[in-house]
Amino acid sequence: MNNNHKCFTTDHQLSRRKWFKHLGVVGAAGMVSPAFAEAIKKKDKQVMFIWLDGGISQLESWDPKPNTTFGGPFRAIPTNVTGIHVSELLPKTAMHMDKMAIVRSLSTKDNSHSAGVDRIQRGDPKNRGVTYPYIGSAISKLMGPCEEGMPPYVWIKPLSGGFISKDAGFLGPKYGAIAFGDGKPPDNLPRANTVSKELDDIRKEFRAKLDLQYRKGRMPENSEAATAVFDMADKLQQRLDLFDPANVSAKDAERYGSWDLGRHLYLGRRMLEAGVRFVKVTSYGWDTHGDNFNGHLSLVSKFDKSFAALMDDLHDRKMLDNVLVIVLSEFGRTPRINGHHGRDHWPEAWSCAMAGCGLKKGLVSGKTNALGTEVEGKSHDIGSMFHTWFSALGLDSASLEYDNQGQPLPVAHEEEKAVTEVLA
Amino acid sequence: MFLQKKTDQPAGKTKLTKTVNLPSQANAARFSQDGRFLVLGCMDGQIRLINDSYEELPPIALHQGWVQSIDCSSKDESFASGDSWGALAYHKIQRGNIQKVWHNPKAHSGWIKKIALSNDSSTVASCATDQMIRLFSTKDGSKIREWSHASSQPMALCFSPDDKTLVVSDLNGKLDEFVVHSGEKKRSFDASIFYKLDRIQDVGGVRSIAFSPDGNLMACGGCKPSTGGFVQGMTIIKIFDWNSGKELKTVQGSSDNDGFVHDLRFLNNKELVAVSSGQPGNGKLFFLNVEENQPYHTVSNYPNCHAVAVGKDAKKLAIVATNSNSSGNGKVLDKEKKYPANFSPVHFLELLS
Repeated sequence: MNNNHKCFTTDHQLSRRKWFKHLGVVGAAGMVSPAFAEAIKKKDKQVMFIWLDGGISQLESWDPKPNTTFGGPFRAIPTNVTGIHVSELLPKTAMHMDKMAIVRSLSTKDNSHSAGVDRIQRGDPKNRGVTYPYIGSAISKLMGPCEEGMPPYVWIKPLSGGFISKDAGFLGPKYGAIAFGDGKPPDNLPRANTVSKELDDIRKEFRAKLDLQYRKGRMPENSEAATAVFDMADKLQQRLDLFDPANVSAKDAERYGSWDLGRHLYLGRRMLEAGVRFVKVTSYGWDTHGDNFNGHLSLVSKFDKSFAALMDDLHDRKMLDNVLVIVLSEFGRTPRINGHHGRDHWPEAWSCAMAGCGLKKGLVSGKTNALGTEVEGKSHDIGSMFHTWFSALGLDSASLEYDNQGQPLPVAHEEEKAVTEVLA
Repeated sequence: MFLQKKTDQPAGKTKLTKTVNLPSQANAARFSQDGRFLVLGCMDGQIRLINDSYEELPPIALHQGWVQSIDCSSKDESFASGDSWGALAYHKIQRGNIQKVWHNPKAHSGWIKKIALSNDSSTVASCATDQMIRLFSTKDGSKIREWSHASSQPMALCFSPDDKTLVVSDLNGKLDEFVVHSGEKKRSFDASIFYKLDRIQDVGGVRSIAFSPDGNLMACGGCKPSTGGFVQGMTIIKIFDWNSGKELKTVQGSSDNDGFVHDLRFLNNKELVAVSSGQPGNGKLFFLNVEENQPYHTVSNYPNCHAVAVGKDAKKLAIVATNSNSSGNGKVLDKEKKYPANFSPVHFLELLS
């Protein structure tokens, strides 16, 4: 897709060379057993995965403990579901509680970002000497693209974009994420003005011939992957309207907020409507080791507005029947308030908020103790959430396996179970 | 506002006379007018008083959330308090006993960030995250006036020396002077160095304001934020000539670890004392001559200081710091294998001439 030879913004380039570099890393790995292929073909379910990078404080969001030792300055407010309270920083989201499910019993293992981000997004399976895919790549593999043929896994994020093969792990680069840095398409995605449609078709034909040549003596999956990603780029070329700011009404811009999380959730909604299977939207800057409370006042208030606008739209368009919404970080934040009035990393007892397809509505599952320092009752590691999400999407994660070059691998930690209380 | 004795005598260094460990972290501290009591606002919703024998009086459990701000009358033994759930209260200290004068649990709908008593002690002003400025009578708690501060979230406020105007600072690094009897904005002071938008986080804000005893100088403190999240930044104090509105000086720290100047007070017409808190373990008590560009005395062994109170005649100080080893990822246990809360050591210092 590198049709602009003057472009030097390499982060945004989906160059042929770059594609092939990624695609060459892994060969025939990661194929799902043919016996399951039909069973996992679920074309109508989608995912909106909102990643608050750094770690949102559960105490300033989904599991407030007001007026306790570690409760912080904020109050809890009632939601539109009797008996369920969230932080006062989420007044708009609180009015969507009747469509949501919160799990307050997460207890995971890693309290560092470097390990936590990977392990949480890969579902922390047993170590079998392979690198598991991120949830987006897993869904891309297990469910494939939607009927519209759009890329199955897109990642909308601040800063740079490009093709992120790392997410795919052993599945191979075909299942990586196409990242839209700052919510923009890759710089060289639009067909250059100097290239006519007819000329572009000739180029594509030429590229197809080169692909045929490339296949000789190589693993067929590599060239298939290359073809697939060129096709994805071709499809994206036809939907450049999704990225055009002129198509965002002033009302929508105001509803979602002008900050990047708001703009990106709006774009994410549009991507879902266009037929993207899995949309990840990342917001950075949630690692509030200092001034946590003023920080969350700013961050959560913005999240609240943007997220509520997304929920409004998904609900109004009846998309929640088919879209699974997940709000997650790599961990929560310490109950203890440090000297800089910050909260540090806390995997011991934290929360995940969800909504949409396959889930019960207006529900909280699990609980922490009065101070928020421990899960009371059964706790859940991230593997349980993977089972929960797969199940909500209609995938039988208990029996489904990846076929990694003959090595059967469970799609989620086999000793974990879904949080059945939240499943519809 | 606490009016110090007018003097131009320079302050000397300090001598630690006592440390009292509170059972909770504290946000605010002020000495009563006679200097006999230190009044503290704590994170457990309690107001605590420590007398001049360093004994803690029974705490006042009236507030909810955090007691964020305290101010003591300069006329008598009374004090006001504001909490993070929007409540204001006013108390009198009579013969060592604390009596509630009034309590307004709904003074604001949001987190009260700062309160200030007028110099004549007739009025308490408050600002909160509901972006309202409100004035209440200290006599009975009745609301005198209110106005919106919709342009930005207010962070601190202070009456001008003549009580005719009120200075309100905000998150975006601006100080606005409002006419007390009308709420009309009179003029603004630029302190935008105190603000940064980092990713989607609004970081910083002017955290503290104080006037010199003669009313000629206004100082404000905060930090020059370099990042959100961790919130790193250099300490900043700006000093303005109150009459002309001209900025006289910006005193900037040297390390991004130093963080916010959370509190500052004038000792006399030329010197002020300030405390800072940055990355856990970092905190400073420093003394600044307004005619110099750097503090002339810095004490770095009090971690994460959030308040400083100046006693009568500026002869003693109280510093609200934080215990050491206050941070850590995961479940950091103490020697008894318990998950501990942090607390505030309160250091009482004598100012040596």
